[in-house]
Amino acid sequence: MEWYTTFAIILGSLIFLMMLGFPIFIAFTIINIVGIYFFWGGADGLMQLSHTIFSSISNFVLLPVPVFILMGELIARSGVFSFTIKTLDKWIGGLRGRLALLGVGSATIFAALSGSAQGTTAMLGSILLPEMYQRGYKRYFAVGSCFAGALAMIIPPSAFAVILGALAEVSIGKLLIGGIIPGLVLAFCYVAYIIIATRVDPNIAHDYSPQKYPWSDKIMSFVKYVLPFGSIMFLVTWLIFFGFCTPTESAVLGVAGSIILIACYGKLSLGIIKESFVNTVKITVMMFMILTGATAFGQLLAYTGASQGLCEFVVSYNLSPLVTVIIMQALFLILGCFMEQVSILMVTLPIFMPIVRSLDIDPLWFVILILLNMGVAMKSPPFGLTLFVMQGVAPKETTIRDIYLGATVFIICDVIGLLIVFLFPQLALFLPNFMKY
Amino acid sequence: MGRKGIFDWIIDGLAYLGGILLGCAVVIKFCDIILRYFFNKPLTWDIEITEYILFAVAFFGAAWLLKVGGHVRIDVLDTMLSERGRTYLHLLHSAVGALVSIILSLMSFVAAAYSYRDGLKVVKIYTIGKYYFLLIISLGFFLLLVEFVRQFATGIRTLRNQSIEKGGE
Amino acid sequence: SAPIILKAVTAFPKNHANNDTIQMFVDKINARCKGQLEIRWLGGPEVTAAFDQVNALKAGTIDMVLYYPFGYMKQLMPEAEAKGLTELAEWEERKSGAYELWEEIFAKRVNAKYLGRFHSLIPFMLYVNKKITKLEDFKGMKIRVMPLYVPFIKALGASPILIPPTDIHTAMERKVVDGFCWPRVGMTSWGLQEVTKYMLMPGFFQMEPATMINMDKWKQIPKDVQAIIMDTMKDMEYVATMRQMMIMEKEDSVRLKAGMEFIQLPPEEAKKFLKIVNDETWKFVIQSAPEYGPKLQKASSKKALPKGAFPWQ
Ligand code: NA
Ligand code: NA
Repeated sequence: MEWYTTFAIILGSLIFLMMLGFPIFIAFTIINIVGIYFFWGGADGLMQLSHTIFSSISNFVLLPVPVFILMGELIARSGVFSFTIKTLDKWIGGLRGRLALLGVGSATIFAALSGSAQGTTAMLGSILLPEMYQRGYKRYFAVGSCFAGALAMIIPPSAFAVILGALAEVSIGKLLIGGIIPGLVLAFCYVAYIIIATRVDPNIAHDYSPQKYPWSDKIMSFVKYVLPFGSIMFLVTWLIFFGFCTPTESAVLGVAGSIILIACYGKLSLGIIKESFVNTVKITVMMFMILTGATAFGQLLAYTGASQGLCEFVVSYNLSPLVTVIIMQALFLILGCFMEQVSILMVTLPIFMPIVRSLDIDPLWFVILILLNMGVAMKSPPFGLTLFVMQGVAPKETTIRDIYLGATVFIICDVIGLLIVFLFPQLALFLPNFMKY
Repeated sequence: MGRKGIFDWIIDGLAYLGGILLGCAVVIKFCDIILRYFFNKPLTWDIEITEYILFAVAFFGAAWLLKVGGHVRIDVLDTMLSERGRTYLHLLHSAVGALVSIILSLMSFVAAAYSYRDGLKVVKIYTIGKYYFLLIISLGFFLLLVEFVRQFATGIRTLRNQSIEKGGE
Repeated sequence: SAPIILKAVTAFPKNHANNDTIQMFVDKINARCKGQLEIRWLGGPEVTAAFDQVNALKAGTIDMVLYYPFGYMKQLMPEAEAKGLTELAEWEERKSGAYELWEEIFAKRVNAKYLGRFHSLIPFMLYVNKKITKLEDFKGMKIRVMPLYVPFIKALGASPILIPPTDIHTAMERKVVDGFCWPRVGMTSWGLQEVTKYMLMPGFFQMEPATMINMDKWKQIPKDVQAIIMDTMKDMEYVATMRQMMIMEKEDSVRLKAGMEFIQLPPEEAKKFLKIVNDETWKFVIQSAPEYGPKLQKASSKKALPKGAFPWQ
């Protein structure tokens, strides 16, 4: 069978099953069972699938995921953060869509604390969405602004960047540092969109008319509700940036700090802890079950030669370096809709990187573009890890349409950001060039 | 709805256990940090235990999450169907889901038996027979199977009620 | 009749530095066995996760593993970790009796024909951020290790820490660990030279990649084709090692350029160091592999070489 027939059959059936409304992990598993049975040699192949399922999630690198979800849950459920939001409201005043702006702002700051896009998205979604809905924001707009959580994998620290750098064989240190400015470019695109959108259609974010507060009140609530919260962020940032621990460890310390803070506000109760854990288990189980299916699915595509065939097809046309980069990045965008990020890298990089190097394209710049691209893959329907997180944390009335539409709008911002970094490589290379090696 | 059956106790209990294990993972990592910085005596087993916990949580919680409707899916088709069509669709979901679960539960069980026979191990600092983990996968899919069958039965009942209502109109 | 197809994988991605000569090997065999046999290199861990490849080979889901660290086989082969402790190159092991032992072990434990090892004499090194001039200096250091190294790291008075390879960079940078063990090849592809100050000499152990074919599949291959495969393997072992040595030299220059220093333990301390490393680790390996362990230790030592087998003896 030619690779494109295999590719079309496998991918077509997956999309069909997803559209029929099967739970995503079941849709993957159906394809895996049928595909492995036919391509990998019957029952032996199916037993191999059990081993793959084990390897896919018994992975220490995944620990920050539940831990950051837990941190977000604890802070959100205790109600501590809503005081913080109220305080910031008093200070910000009459800017339209300020909660969305606040979302992007917190995402950018929190991205510098967290190595996990899922964890950050979960935190933003569970804390900010109920507030935004309550104030009459359009649902897709509110949801979209929380997808800014994907910045966490672009702005260092980022567990994903380390894996990417290792697989692409570029300097990991430079890649991490190189993510800073492009991450800010994306944040800037989000802010620009929010400001323009709220100007064009004021109904998108109904803000209640801000009351005037005396300065003494503003300062008091700042000290009470913003400083302690900032101190947790500061504690975690400080630990990471000044060399005391890894992102995983900072996640754990962040949880400890949050529990202490919540206790100080007198909001800590067994009920809140239990509720937070129930929700953390929900999201973790959901994502991990999908990972079990997605990992085997990626292997199936690789084993049948379908993914390799696609890549080789794309590069078989001897195009100019820039066109090659555009086509490769477009391919990442497409693959990102259907596959899990690490599998994408494992399939494509062995074929792409030698070509990139032979065409004298700066590998670091190319890899930073991939990093931005994988930020899109996090939220591009139908398969995106933060999409699923969002579905897990968003308030009940959120429909799948709201989530997909919100993601799409912000994906457009991402693509604009990607184009900016593509047109001005110095944005990606400026900071790494300062490093001695 | 109504009273909790034995099966509910089992899957709720396992999900609960998953949550407790996750809590343990955080506490273990926390202890490791404290021991390392203040006593220069890091734990050596924290990583492997964490990996096992992450794995176990998924399969302890999978059936429970199915019960509470927490597994993500694309629900566009649901919104386009009539109530009766939706019931049929959900019957299809649970039937195929049950089929997938029975296959994986069986194959994982066989894989566990082979691993036991061959002495296959998971090797970290401590070595553990891999069949334990394959059995957990088998158990996880068995519970999913039972839950899918239950949902199928519920679907059939709903269908019958719908036709009675229709007959009554 | 149609040629026999061998579906093959490697533990690392296709373009990884360790896979340097794999494509050459595959091409040579495919050319020499044209019409009778073809190796199809499907890819690396994206096809089957690295730790699962040995299971898949045993079950026959894949036919051949072209490059696979022995250590990854410990799950099925309690002897596996002994390979890296050898004092010999693979071509020497073929004369010392070690190769036959391994052939037997592979057939028994993983249902595979052991072909050989592409890379010989590439050592593991300790990379540290603290200057070490005597064994005393190890006291209280935190070293990132694989389980095999735990006994000797403890015997040196340091604390072993297990973290995944992806975390080593941050862990070194943030002083979560003071050092780590890694082969002298491949460390720079993780960017680790940026966060490391010293490479400690001497090195110890050897990199130990296995090449193997599922036994049932091997038996289907005609005798003359089997001979071609073995022949090509033996030739390529010299070529692959030579090329890997040159990669190692290039990596050394990258390390120096990044500002790393190579520190040499004084002769007496170096001797003590190697003794602890080898004795502690052999003790540990023999404990988990009482059947073959002592035989392997004997056959992997320089003394096991028959007199006059090689001009450098
Ligand atoms: Na980050
Ligand atoms: Na996606």
